Amino acid sequence: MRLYLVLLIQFTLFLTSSEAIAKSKVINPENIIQQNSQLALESILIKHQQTTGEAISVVISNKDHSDKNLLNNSSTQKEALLILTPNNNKVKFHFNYLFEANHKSNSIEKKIDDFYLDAIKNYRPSDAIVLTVTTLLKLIESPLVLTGKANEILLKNNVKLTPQKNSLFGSIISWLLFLICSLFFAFVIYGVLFPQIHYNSNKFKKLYFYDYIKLHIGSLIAKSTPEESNLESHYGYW
Amino acid sequence: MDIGKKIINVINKTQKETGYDIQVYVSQSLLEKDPVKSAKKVFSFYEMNLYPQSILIYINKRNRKFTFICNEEITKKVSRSYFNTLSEHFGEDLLSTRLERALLILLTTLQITLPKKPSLNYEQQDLA
Repeated sequence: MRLYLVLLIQFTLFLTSSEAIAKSKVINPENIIQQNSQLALESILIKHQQTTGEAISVVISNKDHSDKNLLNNSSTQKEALLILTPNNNKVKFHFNYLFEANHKSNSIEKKIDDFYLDAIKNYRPSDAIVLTVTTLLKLIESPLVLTGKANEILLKNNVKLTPQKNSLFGSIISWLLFLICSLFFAFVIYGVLFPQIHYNSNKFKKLYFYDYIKLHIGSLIAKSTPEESNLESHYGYW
Repeated sequence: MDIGKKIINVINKTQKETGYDIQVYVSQSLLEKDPVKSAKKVFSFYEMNLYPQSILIYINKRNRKFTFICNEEITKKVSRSYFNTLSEHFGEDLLSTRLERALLILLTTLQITLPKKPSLNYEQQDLA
């Protein structure tokens, strides 16, 4: 009976502690990331803590918390805090000395920051944040990411990380614009380098790009003139 | 004298002596497939179609093609074979000399041959 009581107390203690962890893992007061993404991240971070003992929390807020150190340095647990401020694309990574002992944490912040800036260009903000957190776990060699369990949790929570379609569309548009501009430039250069020459009884005139365009537009307007049908052509080559 | 000015002088003389309005257009377009089409555009752009005695000599320097555009009344007057022989000789001149010189020869030929016998049969005439 005693044994049962002890086990019951231990189980309730475990449940309450894990509940406490679960509540504090992803702080998303402004609902910047979707509910399913938040749940997926929370369960990934909880499992990471259970397997490695590293407590990583994520704060997603447009209010700037980067100057404050929100970590308790007297803690006996390995702790890290990732702060993401999507409105100014800032990433801050805080960690205590126990966490630092295990990882080269100074370079992590720079890498995460670079990754987040890239991700935000190609993905929706919510997806970019999820990707940034999983990349952080990859950098600290979390067994969850290395074994692919993190991906399984994401899929279970219906989190699909697909690049934004409009970024591809935007790149196509910019390439097309570049092509049109370079073609126009090439035409101008061509017109300048190889002018057409017109001789009549009074003068001879070199026709550059502008005249060339004028000639073709002028002829398009005058296309319907009936006189053209009376014309005879005598063709030759050399 | 500059060869461009020489060409203008010959055109001017031909116009005064024959009454034909002769204009020359030298194109350097690589993309041009049909010189006749482009020549007709030039013909209407310079409003040569308003004057029935107009002759346009259109040359594409890059594609090595040329064409004479005129009103069909002129072809009826001068005969089609006149222009065929003219084309043949002009082609030969272009092969043997520079374009401007060949053009001068052609214009001088027109100056000499057009006024004298516009209504005669040119098949028997030696244009050279």
